[in-house]
Order: sequence, then C-alpha cells, then structure tokens
Amino acid sequence: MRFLTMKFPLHCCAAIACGLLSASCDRLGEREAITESREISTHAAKPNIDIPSATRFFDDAKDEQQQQRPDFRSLLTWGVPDGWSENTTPDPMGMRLVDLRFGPNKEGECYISLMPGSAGGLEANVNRWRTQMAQPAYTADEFAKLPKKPFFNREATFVAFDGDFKGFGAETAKTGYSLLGLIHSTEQATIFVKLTGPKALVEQNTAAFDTFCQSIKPNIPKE
Amino acid sequence: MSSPNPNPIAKLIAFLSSFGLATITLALLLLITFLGTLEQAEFGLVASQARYFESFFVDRIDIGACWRALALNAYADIGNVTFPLPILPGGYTLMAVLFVNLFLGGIIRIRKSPKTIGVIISHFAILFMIAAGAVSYHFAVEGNMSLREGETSDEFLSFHDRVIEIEKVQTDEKAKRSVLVIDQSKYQDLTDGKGRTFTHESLPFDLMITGWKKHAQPKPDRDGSRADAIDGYFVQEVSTLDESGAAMADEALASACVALVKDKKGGAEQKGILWEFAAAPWTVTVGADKYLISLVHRTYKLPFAIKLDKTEQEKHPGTERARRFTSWVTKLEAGREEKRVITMNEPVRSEGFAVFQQTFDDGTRSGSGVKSSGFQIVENPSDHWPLISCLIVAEGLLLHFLMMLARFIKVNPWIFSIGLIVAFNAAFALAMWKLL
Repeated sequence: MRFLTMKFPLHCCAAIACGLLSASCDRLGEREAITESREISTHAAKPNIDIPSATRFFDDAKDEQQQQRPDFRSLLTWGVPDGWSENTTPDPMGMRLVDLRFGPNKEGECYISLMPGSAGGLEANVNRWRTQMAQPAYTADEFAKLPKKPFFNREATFVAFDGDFKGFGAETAKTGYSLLGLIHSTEQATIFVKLTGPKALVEQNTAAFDTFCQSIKPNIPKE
Repeated sequence: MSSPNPNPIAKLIAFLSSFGLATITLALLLLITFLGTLEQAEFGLVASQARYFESFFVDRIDIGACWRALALNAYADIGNVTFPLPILPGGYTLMAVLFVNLFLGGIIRIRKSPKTIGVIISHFAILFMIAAGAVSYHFAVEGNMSLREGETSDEFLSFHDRVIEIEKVQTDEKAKRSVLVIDQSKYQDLTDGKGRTFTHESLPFDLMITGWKKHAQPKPDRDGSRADAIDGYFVQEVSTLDESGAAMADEALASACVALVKDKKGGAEQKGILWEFAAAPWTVTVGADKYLISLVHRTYKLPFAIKLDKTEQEKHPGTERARRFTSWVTKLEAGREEKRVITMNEPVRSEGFAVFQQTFDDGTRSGSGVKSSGFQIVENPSDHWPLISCLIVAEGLLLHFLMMLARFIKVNPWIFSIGLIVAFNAAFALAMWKLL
C-alpha cells in the first residue's frame, strides 16, 4: 500500500510532465477550420496579383535598387505631332511620363501617365475627369456606350467632352474647354492619354491626338 | 425595527444597494480612469482602453509607465516597475456593479414620494446611460471608408479589428468574388515558435500562420545572412513608441506574420510574409489557380453605397489652416439615388449608420493628384442614448430642485415645478429650432 501511495504521485507527475512536454512540442500542430467568409462588393477595386515582395513592402528606398528601377518613360516610344512640343518643366505631381504642349500660347496640354493596377477603375477615372470639367458623372448606360479606339495593339476607351476645366491645384476654372482621353487598363497597369485645351484648339488637334495615340508603342529591348 | 437575523438574500440586497458599495465603486472608477489615462501615454488609447475600461479585471498595473506619465522620473527614475496581480476590477465589472447598485438602491429601495421623484428620474437616466455603454461596447462597429472623387463604395474598414483574408482569383471578371476570413483572435497568440494550421474544404491547400508580431515591418535581408528570410525579407519587430517616446495610435501600428501554404495534394510548401501595410496581397499559385492572402483590417458592408461626387476644403481666411471639409455624395440604394452633403460635425445618418467627414486629401498626400475624402462610419444601436439620458437627468434634477425651491418659498410644488419645466423646455425647443 505504501508502495502504491508513493508510486501514484510519481505517475501523476510523469503524466503531467509528458503532457506539458508534448503540448509545448506540438505548438505548431494545431489545426482549425475556417468558418467565416464574406462576399466582396462589386464596387471593390480589382485585386493586384503577382506583385513582388519588394513592391508589396515599399522597398524602393535603397540606392542600389533605385538605380535598378525601370525608368517608365523608357518603356514607351512615341512620336510628337507637328506643332507640338515637349514641356520640360516637371509637373507638380510627377505623374506625367510625357508632357506635351500645343497651340499659339501653348495652352493645349497632352500627357501620358501610367499607374499600377486598375488605378481605381475606368469609371472612377473618367468621372474624375468629368468632375474636372464640371460635368455630371456618366451613368452605367453612358459608360457602356463609350467608344473604343485601337491602342497598344488592344482597345482603349475613348472619351471626349466639353466643359469648364479646373485641373489639379487650379483656383479657377477655364471656360470653354474640351477634353479628349484614352484609357487602357490591364491587371498590371493603366495607361492614360489626356488632352485638354480651348474647344476650338482641341478641335483643330483632334487628328493630331489620334496620331499621337497611335504612335505610342511599348519600347521592347532588341535583345 | 429590523429583524435580528435577516435572511442572506436580504443581506445581499442590502449590501448591493448600499451607499458604501456605491462609494467604493465610484472611487475605483476614478482610480482606473486615472491609471488608464496615465498608461495611455505609453500604451496608446486602444490598449489602455482594453486593459482598464473594457476588462473584468485589470491584469496588471504598469507603475513605471504611470510614474513617467506624471513626469516624476525627472526626480527619481524607477525604471520598468510592474504590479503583476489583477487586484483592480476593470471598467466592465465596475459599471455592472454600479448598475446593480443604482437599480436596487436608486430605483427599488429608494423612498417613493413627491420629494424623491426627480432623483428617481435622474437615477433611471443614469442606468439608461450605463446600458447605452454596454450596448455600444457589444454591438457598435466603427471604421473608415476612403473615397477618391468619382469612386463608389459600400464597404468600410474597421479601425481596430484585423483579419487574414484568402481570395481565389477569378478568371471570369464578372464572377462574384468572395474571401475566407480568419479573425485576429485566432492567430494573434501565434508568436515565434507557435503555429496554427487553418483549413477549408474549398481550398486546395492548408494555411499555417506563425511568427505573429503586433508591430512589425518586413526588412530586406541584404547580405543573405538571415535564416528566417523569406523571398529576401524578414519580419522585424519595431517599437510601438514614436520618436518622441509617445505611444503610437493603434491604427498606425502594423502587425505582420509568416504564412506557410501547404498543397493538400503534393505537399509542396510556399512561404510568404503577410503585413498589414503591404501594398498588395501575397499571391500563391496552387495548381492552375491563384490565391491572394492578406492581413488586413476587417471589412464591413453598408446597406447602401456612397459615391463621392466632389470634395472641398475650406481654409481659415489668409491661412493654410483647414476650417471645414465638405463632401458632396450620392447615396445609392436599390436603384435609387439621393444627393447628400457630409461636412464636419454634420454626418449623414441612414439605416443605423452615421457617416462622418473625417479626413480630406487634395491629392498631394496620396500622390495621386486626385482629391479624396475619408469618412468615419459608425453603426451604434445606442447612438443617441447618451443624449437622451443627459436630457432626462437634466429634467429629473430640475424637477427635484424646483420642488425643493417651491417648498422653501411655500407655493404649490407641482404647479410651480411643472409650470417652470414646461416653460424651460419650450424655451429650449425654440432656441434649438432657431439655431438649427
């Protein structure tokens, strides 16, 4: 009996110790079923897929990487239409890859910009332009009817409308303006070509805009 | 004359409704408010709130942090001293005790007479306010929605609740998108050396989460010396204090963890880092399908969509200081469109949700060049209860004081009090009508 009373606590201690040991060893072995899900809104932005770790973690501050970063401007080739010239003053937001001017007082602007992913989507961007021109947003029907133009060996959405233009940072709107725009979106990036200017000047340069858009090509290295 | 041996239930009720218990509870509430406010300087609002005001017991008291918050370290630096025992009841417990005490003492056991009617009304209103706090704690949801001009959304992100989401990339652009959600309570205990595998029948892989850190940042492994590096990066824990030594807001802290995807068929493994502030989800390819895994703030759905038509900021004349942010929005619901204006302190309320103007960006901060608004969205079933409670408290106390005054000046207390209260309320209503 004495033997048993001595042995019992020993067994207990051993069992508890083994239990604790196995629990600590099995800290990676727990499994749990996922029970929750939700539907994503139709308004949600398209997901960014296959984004490398460096981009995901904003790791673009290091000098050596900075040097290796592609110059997006070098990814494109384009032809400047007659009478147009390149603006050498950097735009305040640094968003324009190519920034052109035209017209007697260079009041016409045309630029290319490139943004990663869907950049908020076609609707948001076109309606942003509509807001800049003091125009109401397009409805879904109006979006469905927007014409397409060939661009980059694919199709791009073309918009053209008149209004009073108030660009980013401007205090007052410029009346009697026209806007032409072309937007081409892929999962990786969205490219914008936007032209603004006084209505009569834009009408004179509509053909040049088309020529310019058709001249924009990817600059594929020969090797 | 009281009975010499009252039964235990009567004793318990007497204790629960006693002035002594009320005094101790209020003193403890004062103490935890004091300590919680001091600790907030180093631990931040959310952590301090959770420890002192939302808990049953305060699990420990950081005396060192309180000492430093009082700037007493200028005289004597006591270092990091912590009292590790849960001796203090938390805010939740104290409010529950106060509710019971006030209900039993201030409503049930109080002498009912014309003299006490105002006090009873005020006690009832305070009970109502405590109930409002409980409803808000258990059922309120808060978050933010950021919209650029022209954008529409019917979802908002929680301020403090995080989740891991797994989305299968749809090849058909028109297909419905959905995600599997893992709540933070299921992985935030998985610090280094601990792991848990999450499974779902629809997934061709199991997902193990490990190495969770509350405030962390992926750092590049430039020289390749780190054994824990994944795709050239490792997770480094960073301080929760900012450069001035103050606690950073919970929203400014980004957690991170390591995710291990194990193919159910072949057993092939892929490892990635999930980080709250990552620019994009981690993409995993299993078989012919792609999956996106991300650590994000929990998403809540609104019963309506909001489209930001225009947003403007008004500045104080001659300065760059913002005076007012205003957003012109369209509320979209079941094919109906409604134009609304949201400005600071003037939210749009609909279907239990309140949408407040919170932030404004002229496009410079985001770098997009597009103006945007940040909206705070609150769903709180007890949204107006504290206001109602305060009004009832005021009416109750007014009635009480006026009746006391009437007795003192020897006039009919009911006619005097009710007459004056009606007059006060009419004047108040008129003033509000003119002001609003």
